[in-house]
Amino acid sequence: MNQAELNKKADQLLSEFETLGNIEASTEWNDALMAKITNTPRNTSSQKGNGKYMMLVLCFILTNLGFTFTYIHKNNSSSDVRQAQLALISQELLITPNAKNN
Amino acid sequence: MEEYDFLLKLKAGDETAYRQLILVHNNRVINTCFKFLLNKEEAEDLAQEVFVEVYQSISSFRGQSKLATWIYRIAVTKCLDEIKKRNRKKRITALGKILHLDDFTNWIAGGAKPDRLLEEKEKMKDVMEVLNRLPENQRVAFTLSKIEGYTNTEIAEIMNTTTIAVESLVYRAKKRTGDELKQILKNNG
Repeated sequence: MNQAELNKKADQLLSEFETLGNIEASTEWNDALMAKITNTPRNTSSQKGNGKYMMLVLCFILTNLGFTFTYIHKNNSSSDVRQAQLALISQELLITPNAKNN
Repeated sequence: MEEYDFLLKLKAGDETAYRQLILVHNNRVINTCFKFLLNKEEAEDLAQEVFVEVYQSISSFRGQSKLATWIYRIAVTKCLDEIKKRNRKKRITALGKILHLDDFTNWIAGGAKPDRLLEEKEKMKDVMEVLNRLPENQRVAFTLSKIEGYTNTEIAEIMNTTTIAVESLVYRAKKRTGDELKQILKNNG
């Protein structure tokens, strides 16, 4: 295919794409949609309020979880430090008598 | 004022108002979906989902844009979601073919149905392939510009941008589509 043919074919495809469609909704389609709509529950403002309330509760729970986690983590890490200090002290206590003997 | 009253009726769940709304916008919503999906059945199904969503979310519509703009915006968003879903399915199915796990990946992809391509969709396969490669905003602007009845001003309102930006997006999309289409045709011989 030469360039001119390519251009022509591409233009033809694009214009075919442009003319595609023009579908008209049938009466059955409209009726089916109306039936679907009447059977669909609507999002009421109270539901929206419930959603907001749920979000607030969720945020509260997550914040509390965060605080608890931080507290536990802090406690653990401070007990780690304390353990290290105790180990050091006990080590020193054990070494000192030996050192004196030597 | 008239639209305001109409909107109040819709918000109150007035069935006659909904029937009127559907009659005014049905063809345009279906044709919008069709232009994005190139499948009549899927376009009709998706268009129904658009109106159901309109019905469900009308209470959140604050009237900051025209009601029609809001409806077409929902339609475009749903079409883009559907295209993403399709592309995801295609990727999973392709992966399954490579790994010889067709049945398993078909199941993961949500029971991907066999291709139900319409004759016109088959013909437009190359155009669809090129459109799939466009950035989302170029694709939306270009596709809407090819649907009868949409003006650049309306497209700009739907896309929440300016008319000049829409013109530029359509121009770039048209150029890129043309170039890539020629490349595909050249490769196909």
